[in-house]
Formats: sequence, C-alpha cells, structure tokens
Amino acid sequence: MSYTWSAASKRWIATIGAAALAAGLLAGCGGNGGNGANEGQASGEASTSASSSSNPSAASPSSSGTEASKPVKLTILNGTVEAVDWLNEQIKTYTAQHPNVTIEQEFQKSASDVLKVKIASGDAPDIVALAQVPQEFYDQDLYYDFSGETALWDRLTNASIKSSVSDTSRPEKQFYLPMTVSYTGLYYNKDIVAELGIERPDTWEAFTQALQTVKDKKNDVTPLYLGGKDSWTLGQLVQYLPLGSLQQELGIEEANKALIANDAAKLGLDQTGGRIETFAKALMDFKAAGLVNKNGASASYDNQLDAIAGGKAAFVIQGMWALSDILKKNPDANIGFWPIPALMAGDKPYMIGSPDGSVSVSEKSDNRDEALKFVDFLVSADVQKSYSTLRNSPSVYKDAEADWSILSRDVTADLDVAFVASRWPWTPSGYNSDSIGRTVQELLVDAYKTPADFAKVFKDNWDKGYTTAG
Amino acid sequence: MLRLARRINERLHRYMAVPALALFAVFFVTPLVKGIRISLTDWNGLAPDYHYVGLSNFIEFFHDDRAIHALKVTLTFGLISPVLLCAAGLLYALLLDNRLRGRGAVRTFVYLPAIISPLIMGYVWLLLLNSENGALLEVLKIFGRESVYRDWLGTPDEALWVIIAVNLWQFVGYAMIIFLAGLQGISADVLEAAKVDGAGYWTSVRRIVAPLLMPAIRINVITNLIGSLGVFDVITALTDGGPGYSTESMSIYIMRSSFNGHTGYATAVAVLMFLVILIPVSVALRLMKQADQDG
Repeated sequence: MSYTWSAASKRWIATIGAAALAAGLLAGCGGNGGNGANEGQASGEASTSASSSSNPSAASPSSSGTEASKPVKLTILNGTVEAVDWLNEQIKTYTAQHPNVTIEQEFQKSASDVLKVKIASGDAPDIVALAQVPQEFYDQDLYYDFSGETALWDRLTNASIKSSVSDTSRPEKQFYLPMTVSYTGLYYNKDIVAELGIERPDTWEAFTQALQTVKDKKNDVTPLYLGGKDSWTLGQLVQYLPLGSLQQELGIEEANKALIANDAAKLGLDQTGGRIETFAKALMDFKAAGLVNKNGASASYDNQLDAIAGGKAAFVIQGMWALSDILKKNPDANIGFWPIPALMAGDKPYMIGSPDGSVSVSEKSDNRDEALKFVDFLVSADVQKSYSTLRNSPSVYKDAEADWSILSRDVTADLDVAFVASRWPWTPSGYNSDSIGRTVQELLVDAYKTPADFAKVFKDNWDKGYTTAG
Repeated sequence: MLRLARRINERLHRYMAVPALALFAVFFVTPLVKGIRISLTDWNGLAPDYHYVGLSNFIEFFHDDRAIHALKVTLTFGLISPVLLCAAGLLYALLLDNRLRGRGAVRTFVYLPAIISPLIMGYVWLLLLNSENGALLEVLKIFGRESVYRDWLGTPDEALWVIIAVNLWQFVGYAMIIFLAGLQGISADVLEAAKVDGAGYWTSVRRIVAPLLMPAIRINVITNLIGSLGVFDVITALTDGGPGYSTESMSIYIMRSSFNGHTGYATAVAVLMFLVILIPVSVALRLMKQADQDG
C-alpha cells in the first residue's frame, strides 16, 4: 500500500494548512465557546473559578473568611497608569501587616478589554481598579455588591455619591467603591489669558472669541489643542458638549434613562439644528478658522499635555486626572481650570464631577473575603488621603480630606457657576467614547461635508451600538 | 516477531507524525471548528447562553460599510505589500550576492528590522513621523524646510501608504535572506556556462536565475501574502486604524467587534478572513505552478 500523495494534493494541503494556521488563530480569538456545564445549549462561558465561599451574607470588608495563616494570593487589574506606584506602595504596606497575603498588581492600558479576555478565559482578577468596568459584568453579578456596607457609605462627603455609583440597570446595587471625585473642565494657561485679558468664557460665542483672540495675538500658540489620535479624548468631547447639554435639559438621571433606552424623541441625535449637529458645526468652524491644531486627529493625548504644560496651547479640555502628568512635564506650569463653555444657548457652563478611582471585587473569587479586606484597607482614611493627593482630586470620604490640588480653589469657584454632572453621560457599549472619538476623527479630517452628515452617521452608529451591546 | 518489527519499521514515519498532528488538531483545528460554530451564533463573549442565528452574521458583514472598507484596506495592504517585498527583496539579494565591500554589514542592517516586533517598529516610526515633535519634522526644521512635511499619518488617503512603506522597510530583509539562500544554491557553473554562451547579466537573471529561484519566490510570496493579509501590529502602532476607520484592517475590525460584545459576529468575520487569505494564496500557488510548467 502506497502512502504517497500527488504533488497537487500536497500543495493543496500545504495551502489549506497555512491559511488555517493564520485564520485558526483569529477564529480562535472568539474561542471558549462551549463548556461542559452547558453543552447542548451552545454555551459561551464566561467562567471564573468556582467559588467555594460565596456566601454573600458572610462577606463584608470587615469579615474574616480566611484564616490568617493560610497563604493567599490576590490579583489586581489596574487600568490607571498614574496609580501604579501608589498601589504598589499600598500593597507593600498591607502585605507587611498580613504576611500570609501576596498581592500581584497588573497594569493594562486597555484594561477593560483585557478584563473581558481574562473573564472569558476563566482568569478573572480578584480585584479590579478600573475607571469603567463594562456594564455586562455587573449585569451578570460577577462583582460583589457593596450596597450593604453602611459604615462605608456613611463616610461619604455627600450622600448623593452613593446614588451616582449605583448600577445602571439596578439602582439599589453598588458594584464598586469610589475613591475621589474627578472633575473635567477647561485647562487654560494663566499667563496667556492674563496677558490677553481673556475672561472666563461661559458661552460658546465667548469661547470662540477667546480662541480668536489667542490666534490673532499669539502666532506661536495653538488656541485649543486636540489630542485626537487617542480617540477617547474626542469621544469625551461629545460627552461633555452635546450629551452634557442633554443632561442639563432633562436632568442627570432622566438623561441617563433616555440614553439607556435610546429614546429617539428625547435624544434627538440627528435632529436638524440639534445638539450633535451643533457640535459638529462648532468643531468644523474651529478647524476652518484655525482655532484648533491642524493635526487634531493625529496628535496624541501626550502631545496635548505637552502643549498645555509647555505654554504652546492656550486651552485644552481634559479631566483632573491629567494634572499630575502636566506638572511632571512642567512643574512650573501656570495653569488654571474653568468649566467647559456651554455649547447650546441657554445652558450653563459644564463640568463632570463624578466619582473616580473605582474598585470592584470579583464575587466568584475563591479569595473574595481576603480581597474585600484589602479593599477595606484601600479605602481607609489615611490611604485615601494619599490617593486624593496623587489624583489631584478631592476624596469622597469625609475623613480623608487633604490638600488635593493646586487647582482646588479654581474648582471651588467653578462649582458656583457650572452645571456639575455627578455621572458621565451614558453611551452604548458598542459605541463607547473610543468609537465615538473615531467618528469625530473623521470630522476632523473632513470626511463629512456638512454637520448634518456627521449627525446622521453618529445616529446610525449610536443605534448600532445598542445591537452590539450583547 | 521479525515481521512485526519490520511492519512497525515500515510504518514508523506515520507514527512519528502523530504528535505533530495532535498538536495541530488541538491548537488549530479545534479553534477553527469552534470558531465556525460560534460564527453561527449571537454570542456576546460573556453571557453563558447564546442562540444560533444561521448565516446572519455573514450577511451582516456584507451590509456593513465599515466592514467592507476594512476588507478593502486588508486587500490593498495584503496584495501590494508582498509584491513590493518580493521585488525589493530580490533586488537587494541580487545586489548583495556580488562580491561587494561591506556586503555583510549591509545584509545585517537590511535584515535587522525584521527581528524587531512590528509593534515596536511601528512605535519607532511613529516617533519619527509624529506631526508635533517627530524626528523627521525636527530635522526639516533645522534645514528650514518644515513646509515639506505633511501629516501623512493624519491624512486618510496617505496613511495606508506610510504603513505599507514601514512594513516594506521592516520585512524587506526577510525576503532578501530567502532570496539570497536561493541564489547561493544556484551553481556558479550554470551561470558561467550561460556567460560563455553569450548571455548578458539580465538575460541570465531572467532565463536562469529566476526559474531556479522559483522555490524561494514561492516561499516569499506565500509567507508575505499570509502575513500581509493578517496585518495588525504595524497599523495598531502607527494609526490605530485611523484617522477614523481609514486604515482599519479586518484583523483590527475583528478585535474591536469582539471587544464590543459582538463575538459571534467577530468570529464570523474571522472565518471570512480565512477565505480572504485562502483565495489569494491558492491563486498565487496556481499561477506559480503554471509559471513553473511554462518555464
């Protein structure tokens, strides 16, 4: 019996093998489809290790579910680069007090994507320190519900913070603990503004005029600097401006409900002369008048911070999280902080002052109780004071008041004039701020002829974002 | 006993293939089969349940403008890059196959980028081409020629060509090495005989070197086609698929669709990508076979 194959067959097998090798890797990305527990029902398992101690009533930050002598290894996925060293210090302090515990921190730039992969592959970290955990994880009860931790909520500087960290679908549940209140606003160069006699611009017209003044009188300064290569920075502009205006009209909770329900009548995303169209027109006008950097779609977030830190830009729109990096680049940067000018006539200038630095604990973790104890340590008064200073943001806890930022006075003054949103405007998970930012990138590279074209594409993408939410 | 030993001996080569086949089955065939199964569902990547949706994911692909654009980007990059890589690699190989002073150093410099991760190489080029403070712009400023600079990576019509150029710069050394190995396998006697018969340099290259290099050409074409059609890293580093979606390839589209909770659909696109790779590779093989027979 001969086992020789013809040359043609060999070539075909080699071809198919080579292509399978390439495509198998990609097709396999979506792997982990079925699982033994759910076979027959075509199951896409998001399994975490089985919990042997999942007794919710026994779990609290102060409960002791693990014997002190038993070695425990905790894993933390951190998505905030500025907090890596700080977290390592806290880990060092905590493990010195609890020698049986080892804690491994993993930082990931795209932590929310990495978290999805980890959960899908059954490797969920015990603790997640992430600005935005994807909603679907909360929907599936993969995270511990902190709603019963009365002692913690009693420490809040403002009782409304608890409701602002409530779950989107089940307001009675809180799946993460906040640490600070982070403000977003308009950074400005104090020297340039003082030299040109620019007053705080509360309306879009005043803002346009301020930018024009900078352009006319300071040739080497970019009036408003955009760092659009990191598309989230542009996506957030949509959240601050048109969606922020929606919050002003409907109220924060009602706007969120309308956004979650995709209530087309209330949102009016593709409405002629509506918020999205007005936003597109504003940006197109800025670009045409040379009031933003020409490379707004390809300059990075880092370029943006360089520009404001080095006095090459008069204004940038960013969150308070950027301050520590700005000061690292230039410790003498003379900058101030105003609310973002109102896009729509009749609106107040806008700020988001939402809880930040969220920490969640995996409900299904074998080490859940030990993880909760570490989180209890993280939110203790002294540790929170240091976090508040690190993040240049006020703590959400009464007992952790600290001298948190050089901009604290500015923020206090801003709060008197601005509409302050305690929640970020919600976006569908299939069209998050990163994806929205890509549509704004297209606007910046002249892919849309009119603001209405932009609004139409925005609306289409937005609607589609709901069907991909899963 | 002797017969049994002989039989085992005769079939030994088949048994020896078993571990390799087992690994292939576990790491490639199984994910592929699972992938095809998931491509027929609406799984979001996390939920324990999902439903079979037939071919609707595949149909959706052809109704999505962004997906079609990603397909065009993939084909443009995947078909142009291998041609440029093979042409430039062959030119380098022909040049460096001669006895030139410093050819070892040149070979090393040309090949060096190929051993670096495309992601890192992409970031290096990003630093060079950055529209704000990139090295190229700074050098141009020194010579007062900054007006020559264009924000190529921020221009949708030009960004893909920059990516193709960076990819060419990185992998031309890889193509060159394969061609050089092929050239060194060609007997000097054959070339000498052609010379004696009056063949010039280019005639020798066309009539003798090219046919004898066919195995090397085949390897280069196939590996470059597969690599280029699956391009991911260099685009991610240089433009992240932007501006907008102008340089988004299918592999980046698959990743984003998957992370956006559209895993069933993303897997369907991955299966389509299998075909996008398979078809050009098959056509290339057929054409080269024909060239072999004609030659």
